[in-house]
Amino acid sequence: MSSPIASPRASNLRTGRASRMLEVYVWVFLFLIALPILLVSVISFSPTPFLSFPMQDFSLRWYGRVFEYEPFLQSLWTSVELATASTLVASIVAVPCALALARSQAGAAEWVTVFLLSPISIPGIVLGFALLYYLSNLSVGPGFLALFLAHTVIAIPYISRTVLSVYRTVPRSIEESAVILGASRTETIFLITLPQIRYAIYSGTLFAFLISLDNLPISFFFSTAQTNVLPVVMMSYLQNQYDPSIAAIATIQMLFAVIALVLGEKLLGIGALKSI
Amino acid sequence: MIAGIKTLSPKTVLRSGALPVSISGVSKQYGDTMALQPLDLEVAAGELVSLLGPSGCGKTTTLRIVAGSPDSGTIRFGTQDVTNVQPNRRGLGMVFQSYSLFPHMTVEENVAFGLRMRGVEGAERSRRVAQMLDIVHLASFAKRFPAQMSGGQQQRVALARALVTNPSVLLLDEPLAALDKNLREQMQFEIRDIQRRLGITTLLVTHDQEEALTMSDRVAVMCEGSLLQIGTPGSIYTRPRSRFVSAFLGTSNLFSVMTLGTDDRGRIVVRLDASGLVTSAVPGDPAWTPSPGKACVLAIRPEKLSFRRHEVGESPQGMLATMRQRVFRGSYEVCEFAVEGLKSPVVAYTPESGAGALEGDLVDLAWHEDNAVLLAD
Amino acid sequence: MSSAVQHTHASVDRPGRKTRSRRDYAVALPVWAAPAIAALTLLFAVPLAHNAWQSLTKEEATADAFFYYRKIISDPYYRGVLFETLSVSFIVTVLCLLLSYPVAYYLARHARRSRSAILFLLVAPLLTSVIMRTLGIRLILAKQGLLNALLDTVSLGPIPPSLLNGPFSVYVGIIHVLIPFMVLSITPVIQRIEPAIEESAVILGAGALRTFWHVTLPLSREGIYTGCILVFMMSNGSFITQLMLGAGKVVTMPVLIFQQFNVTQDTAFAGAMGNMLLIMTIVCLAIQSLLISRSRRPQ
Repeated sequence: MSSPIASPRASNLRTGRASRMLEVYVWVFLFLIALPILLVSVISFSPTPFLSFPMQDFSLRWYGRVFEYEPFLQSLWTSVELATASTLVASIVAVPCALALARSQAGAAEWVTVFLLSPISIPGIVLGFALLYYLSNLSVGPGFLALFLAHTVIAIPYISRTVLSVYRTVPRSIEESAVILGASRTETIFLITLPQIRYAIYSGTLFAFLISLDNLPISFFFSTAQTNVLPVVMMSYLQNQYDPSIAAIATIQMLFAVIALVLGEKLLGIGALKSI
Repeated sequence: MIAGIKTLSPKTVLRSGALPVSISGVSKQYGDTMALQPLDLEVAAGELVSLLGPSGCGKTTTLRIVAGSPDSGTIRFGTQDVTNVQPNRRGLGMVFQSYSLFPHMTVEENVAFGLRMRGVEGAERSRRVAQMLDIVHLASFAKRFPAQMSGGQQQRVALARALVTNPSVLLLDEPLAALDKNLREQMQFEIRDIQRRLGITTLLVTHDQEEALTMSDRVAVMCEGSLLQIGTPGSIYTRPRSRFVSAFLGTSNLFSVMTLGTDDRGRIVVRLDASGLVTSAVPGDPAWTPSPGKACVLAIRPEKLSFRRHEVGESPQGMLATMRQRVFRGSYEVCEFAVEGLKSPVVAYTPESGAGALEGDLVDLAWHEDNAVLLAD
Repeated sequence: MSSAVQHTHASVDRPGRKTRSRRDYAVALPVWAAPAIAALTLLFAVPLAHNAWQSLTKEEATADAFFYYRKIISDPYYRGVLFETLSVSFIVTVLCLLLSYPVAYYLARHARRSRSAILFLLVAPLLTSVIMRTLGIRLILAKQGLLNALLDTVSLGPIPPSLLNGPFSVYVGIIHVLIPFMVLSITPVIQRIEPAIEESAVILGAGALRTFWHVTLPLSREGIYTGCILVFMMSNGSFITQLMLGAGKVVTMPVLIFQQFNVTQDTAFAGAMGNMLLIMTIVCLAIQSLLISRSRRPQ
């Protein structure tokens, strides 16, 4: 439908030099955002032990190094285990909570929602520190259990947030129709409510999973020699050894995230990403 | 009619065959506002009653009570007291204003849902779904999703979904409000037709008086949480009992009058405050006989007024008026008159274009006494 | 059947009524929120409260509850760290806003087919490791990094190392990480402004710039507030960037906490600093809700 406005000034808003400049700016901007990530992937194929430009050759030696250096793979695996476990438990706890809060008319519901979403806003290092001393007072020292508890607490708000915002847009009358047609509470939830919000659950869970994989501020307080997560291992490697194998493992981790996203999209549909 | 069933097993529902609905003393409060004053309403088996009124009058609240629970009072379907029966076991059919189709299910699955909840499986279920889709002329849309259909089609799916389970009572909450005018008029006839054929007791909520008049066996006019008047469309229209009802259905010319007494045919004789014209009127409420000297309101519908040019020198035949405006409205014309002593113009509708008088002419306004309705206020 | 007419108050349109009548219905029971609330209370609220209490009662604070807090505010070094935290966050926020707004505007108004591509490019970095992104920045800005290599090819001198290993790199690093959040905060708010409003301004005689300044910008302020507060808070909590790019020259609160924990093991002091950071965060959130409720009040 054509715009009813034909004045030359108006057309400046749509086409013309200004908006072309804007377009150029945006694409340069996006390129600069992507550049660091691309660089790291590129450098992971560098033949030399130091990171420099320009690159002469291709080499897979750093990927080999990744497989040699046990802490890399071990910690990657630990991170994946941790992310999976904490995200799963968090979603079991967070989804019903979000369902209850979204429709609640009680005045307290607003405060509870703020409380529920607050861990996202708190600097990770503060929470990690506080949890470390608190848990050790309860005889839960650094290790997988402590990590699991910490990551679950972080995952809950991420999942609740997406589920809440999507569920609030689902009209109540759809569930009411189901009830009037004879559905019990359980039938309504599994046949009507959950299918409506499934994309929110998936994307919230996926997001929480990826956040957990990358979490450094909290995880670093709980790492031990036996139980270490990848970001912490990468950090200390960077500070002590600093060679392109760090770029290699970072690229592998990125591929991991990409695979998780693509799998999510294939299995659950493109809508899986719409609500991030 | 079901005789004496007191307990319901989880999957039994109140079966079809039209059931009368009886609402007594039902009220509802939200916070500190009384949304519904204690209300009594009887709907006969197979009847379609409209609840008509402006926003906030309590009509939707009443409908939802039939599907839910009141603060006080009882609801009965036939002899069965359903006030405390869970909504999913009352055997109701309901269509919401927004249709509320399940977006993730096909048309077929939507319509089949109620049957599925009642444990109707396999061939029987498919047969009934197909039959209902036929009735609403949507057989070829069975595999489509709601998002791929127009508003009118979605509405018919919602109707099919509500009816396929043979409910004893059908509730319609402003089902046509989201449709455009032509479609709405067509659907009014279609819904009424289906309802009559299936003989389902129906409650329809609407704010559109034309819709209420077109579709209903009886119309219940509500205002501010109470029921003002209930009656057939014709009787409500020609014999309103209050100013509100008379103004809400169609338009009325309202004149302040003083009662003088009754004449020998039982009509009330009144005198117009403004012009002193004396005429007789019929009371809106047949049971009401106002005493002389009472201030009342006389209501005359615009389409019941006729006029012709006043011949100079003749004595006035009716009310003397000057034509101010004449507006073409398609199938009729609206004429506005100024009458001495009256602040608002008097309005008349005429099907003849251009005839009778021109703007600026002096006319005699006349009407049949049967069409002059006296209202308390 | 009652036919009485009510004369209590004038018949008035009450649009609020329709939504209220649906209050009764919810498929979820309120008690379902209990496990999540319990989890958060036990593993989030209580530990933070415990930490606050520790900082007011342990070690040097046994005699004087506010010992550590006074130390942070009175000691010039620690005061400097506090100030540094706030100023870094402030500069990052302003720069993020200036760089992001045009992108948000473009995304909201102009991008049609490229919309999902742009969103993807904005969100995808959030899914890669922070370490990876910061490493990438280092690769660009290092002495033998991409930037110097490029400048070399056009025979411009290398950037002085003092610039690269210090505040400049840290700012670039933090801005790179936080910019997507700013864009994603502002874009939906601009989208909600009906284009017809901007067109009306043009018809009334405003040029593109004046329309932007008088119409678009004020109407998008809620997004600006949200984005700025979010970026400010997140910048307060960042320390990986400082560690990896700052060469020790940029010391903000989280960096200090990290160092205190690793080196001195002075847990009460670290706890107090963490608490300060927490208080700063809460103040930010309070300001945000104040600004937003003010901007929503009818003018």
